[in-house]
Amino acid sequence: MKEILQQIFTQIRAGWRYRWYAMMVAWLVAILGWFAVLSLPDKYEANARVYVDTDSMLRPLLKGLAIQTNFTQRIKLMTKTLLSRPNLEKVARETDLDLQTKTTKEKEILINKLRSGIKLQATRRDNLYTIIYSNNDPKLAKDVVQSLLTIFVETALGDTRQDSDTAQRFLDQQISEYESRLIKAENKLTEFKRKNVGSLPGQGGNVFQRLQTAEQQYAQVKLLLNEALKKRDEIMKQLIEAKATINTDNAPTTTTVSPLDTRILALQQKLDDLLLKYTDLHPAVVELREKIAVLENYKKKNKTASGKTVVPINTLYEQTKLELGKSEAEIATLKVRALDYKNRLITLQKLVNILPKVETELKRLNRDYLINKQNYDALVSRRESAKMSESANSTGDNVKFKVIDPPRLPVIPAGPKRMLFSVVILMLALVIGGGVAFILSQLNPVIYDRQALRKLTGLPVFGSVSRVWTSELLLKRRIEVGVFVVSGIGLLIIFALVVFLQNYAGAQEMLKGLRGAV
Amino acid sequence: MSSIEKAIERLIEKNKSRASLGAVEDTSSIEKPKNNEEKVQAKKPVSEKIKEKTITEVKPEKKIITEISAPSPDKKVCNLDFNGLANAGFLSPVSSNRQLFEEYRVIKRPLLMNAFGKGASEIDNGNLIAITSAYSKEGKSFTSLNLAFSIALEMDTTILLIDSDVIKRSLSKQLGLENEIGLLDILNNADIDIGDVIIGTNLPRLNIIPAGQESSSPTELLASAKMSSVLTELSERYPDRVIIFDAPPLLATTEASVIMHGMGQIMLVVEAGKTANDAIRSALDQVDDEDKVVGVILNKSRSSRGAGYYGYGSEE
Repeated sequence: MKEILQQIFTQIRAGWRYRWYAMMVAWLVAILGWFAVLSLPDKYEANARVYVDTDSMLRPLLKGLAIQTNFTQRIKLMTKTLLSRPNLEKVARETDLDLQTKTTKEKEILINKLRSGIKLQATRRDNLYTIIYSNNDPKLAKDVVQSLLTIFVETALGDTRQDSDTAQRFLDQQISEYESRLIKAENKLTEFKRKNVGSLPGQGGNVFQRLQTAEQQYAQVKLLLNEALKKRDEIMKQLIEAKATINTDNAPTTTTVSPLDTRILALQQKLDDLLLKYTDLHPAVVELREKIAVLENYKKKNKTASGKTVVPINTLYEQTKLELGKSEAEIATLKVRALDYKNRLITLQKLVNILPKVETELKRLNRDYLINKQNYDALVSRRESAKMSESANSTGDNVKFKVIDPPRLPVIPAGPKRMLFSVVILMLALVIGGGVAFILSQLNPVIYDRQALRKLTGLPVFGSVSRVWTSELLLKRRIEVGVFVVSGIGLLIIFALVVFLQNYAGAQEMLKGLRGAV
Repeated sequence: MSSIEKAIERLIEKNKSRASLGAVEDTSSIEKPKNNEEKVQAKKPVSEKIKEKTITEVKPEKKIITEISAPSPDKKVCNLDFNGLANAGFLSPVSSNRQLFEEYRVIKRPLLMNAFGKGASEIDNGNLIAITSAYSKEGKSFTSLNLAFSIALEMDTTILLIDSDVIKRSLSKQLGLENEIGLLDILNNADIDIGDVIIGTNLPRLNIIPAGQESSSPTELLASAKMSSVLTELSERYPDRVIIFDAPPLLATTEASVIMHGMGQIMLVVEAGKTANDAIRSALDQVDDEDKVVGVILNKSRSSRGAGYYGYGSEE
């Protein structure tokens, strides 16, 4: 540590030899630098602050109803693309800057200058954006900021509107397409239903059940028909037997039932029926009994008149014949029914083969229809949302650009930071001066102690003699140090003067004159 | 000093030179004048005593007044103004700068050892000591004079200080002897012997040969064969004396190295913080000789070593 300190001290002492060079260089650098600083043209800074309000009243209200675009993200993107080439060209056009440029190269330079000069500061949390531009011309600075501000707001809003339009157009297109598809599907379904009526599921239950029922019915009818046929055959046989008895035996014995008897019998039957319902005293019963009595009397008279008895064989024959007729009729009925059942069975059997196909087809048609319908419904509701969003946006309440600080014409120059530059130049001058002294001392090394001397020469050092400070030498040294200090102070005085010139209003005019001269 | 005075002085000197030379004798006592006005004369009263005040304006502030008296035709004696020298920072006998004394004591010891063969090896012409430097104004004359004082004051040795820096002749100027005949006159004029130019001082064991009358070609004279013979003569004639040469700077004149040939010991004065390292190296290249003792003396150092060591600051 001690050695390092000694080393540093030695270096400083070595540099001290060239203090006058250092002072001269410092003066030169400082004077030139300050002159340059003072002759720098004024810079005016214009700025504007915009507050982008994305939390509107409508937003929570329309939640779920309208489609919410992510404005925060959009604006973030906007800030990144604000300094794009087309935008800058627009700015140049609006501020008439491009009139000064003639060649494309000049224009390129202008655009680049704009790009590097414009500052867009954004505080992410507060949605507060500041646009800053500085120029030698205060009016130009203001115009550029104004123009940028307009572009900023317009682009943000315009994009949304355009977006919404495109979305709606797309939706409309889709809806019309789905509509036609839906109609087509509906038609197909109707047609199909119409074609396959009867074989559609849900009409008369399951086909297989129906088939089974039909088969059973058919079998039953066939059984009945067979029974009827057997019965007829039996009746036929009896009829033949009865006929033979009449023919072979005495024919007169075969008495025929006289119509009178039949009538009495019928009446008797009727009477029995009535008696089931009514008492003996009912007028109908009384009348019927009187009638029967009259007829009985008539018969007795008639019998005696003819002298013949009624043959019972004749009655059996007639009865059998009647039975036969009945049976024939029944057979005919059953035959028709059996045929019908058979036809139905055949139809059903045919149907069983087609039915699954129909069922699948129907399901498919239904599905198509449903899907189309769902999409259609969804699209329609979306379109409604989009319409609502657009109208919400167009009311301007969704996102608000509040210009907090509109760009003003700057009066007081914001730059260049002459004070800072002056201080930096002072520092720089001192550092460069010191550096020159240091470099000179390094280029031209000398020795300070006997150790170094011995090392350098390799010869014995007979002794070292201290510097003798005579009063005259001291005086000389004091004068020298005094002059050195005074020249240092002189530099500071000039520095103070430079600072004064920058800040004193009266000096401004003078400086302007100086700049004009430069 | 007026031109008339100069003329008178020259006249006197010519007379002196014509007078026969006696053996060099020591002045018997040391006289320390208290101030400039009080002049103490040499013991022997002289009939034709010419007093001459020489005011040398070396620096505006200090005036070292040396009075040269001619006590006898044989020998000139100058009274050195010790106070003036002390004020000018020299190591005069009245100087209060203890540290300076000590520093020169350190330097002179090895020099004397070498001079009288008490060192490790015998050195030819060891008593001839050249004090030189790379360039002028680095403290040659200061060192020469101080070393002479130091040796004259404390040792039992007689010392002859020769100003051989004939161009700057700063030593002669310092002592106010620039108009006295000296080294150049020996070289220039065959009639003048070494003994003629030796000037005694009020310090008994210190004698001085000044640079001499200004010549048109001082460097050529120094490089001449005569110079070599003078050196040999000096060494042979005064083997018991230490002869200190205030030599010309090595890098300023090419002839300086000629003088160095005859020397037994060469001291290179290096000024701390001024003499460039390169200059030191090239100066040493010129005197590199195995037969001689070559050493360096650091001058004007801000030594921390001695400061306060003897109870005195290194600076006033």
